[in-house]
Amino acid sequence: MYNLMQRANALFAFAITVLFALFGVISVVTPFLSSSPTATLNISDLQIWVYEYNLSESEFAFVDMKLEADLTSLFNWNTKQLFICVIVEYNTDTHNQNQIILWDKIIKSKEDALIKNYDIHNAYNFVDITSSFERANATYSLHWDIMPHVGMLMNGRAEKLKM
Amino acid sequence: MFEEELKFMRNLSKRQFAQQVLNFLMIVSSALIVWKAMALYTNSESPIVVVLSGSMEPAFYRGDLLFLGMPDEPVKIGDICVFKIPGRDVPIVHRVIKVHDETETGKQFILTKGDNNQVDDRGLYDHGQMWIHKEHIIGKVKGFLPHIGIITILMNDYPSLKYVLIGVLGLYVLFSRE
Repeated sequence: MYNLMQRANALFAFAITVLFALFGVISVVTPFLSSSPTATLNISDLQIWVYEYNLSESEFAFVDMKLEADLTSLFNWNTKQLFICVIVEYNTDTHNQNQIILWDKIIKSKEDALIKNYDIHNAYNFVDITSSFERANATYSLHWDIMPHVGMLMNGRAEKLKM
Repeated sequence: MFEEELKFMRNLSKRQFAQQVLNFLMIVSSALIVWKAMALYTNSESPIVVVLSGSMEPAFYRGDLLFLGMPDEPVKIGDICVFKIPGRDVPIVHRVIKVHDETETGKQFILTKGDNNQVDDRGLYDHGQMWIHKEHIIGKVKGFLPHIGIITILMNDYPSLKYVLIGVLGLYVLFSRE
């Protein structure tokens, strides 16, 4: 004979097993869903000003950009949100790799993932770890992070733009 | 209600009682083995963490479970990392917004920020600390499971709940029949 506790226990255990099996299947399947995101980023203005920062004079860059992107295909049934950001990369003599996020945005719906002629100014300080960029050449690109409802985090990037 | 259980305990021989205790220890040790094996496999000291604050909302809420990995390659921009400031117990889950790699030493200078915070994390670091480094980082977030960790948060907020839960589970295992 089985009493109520044992029946409830068996039912609960089975429900948990099924739930986690489902999570597992979703996590494995999601990376194989196809998508075709596109994005172009254009620099419209770049200025460098010198300000006092941490008790010394430091170069600050100010960038204006135009963004055109269609990320709607990244939204599938397991997409909770997109985190998109503009990243600048450059090398100097002392530091062989410098990466800075200039601007970011969280996109929570498919409708918002179609971005047309969007004006971007750098939201975060574009300043080097030393006080000068040493006139380095920089590469700008758009990155996206896909946050799932459950499963693996994935990311991607649009083509790089040289300056 | 408990008469049956008490009768069951009285009828157990010493050998059977030892068997029940061993069963219990078996469950505890296999859980520990799984945890340590995961830590070895992912090369991260705590491969699963529970989100404790709302600073990464709406991506991660309090109580969400994160699976970490520790990649061999250097930290990249945009990675969501879990890091620990020395002398502070609670690890922080935030996004990397600046990385500078020094040519001479290969040392990485990293700045982080929570997606939901207005400012970067310099206020969270030690006084005057401008950057964190690879050695502060426990892992990089690889996978996500919502809400499951809320039990841990409840147990932290109400410690008595923890003992009740452990007690009930322990009794259940001791009294369960094969």
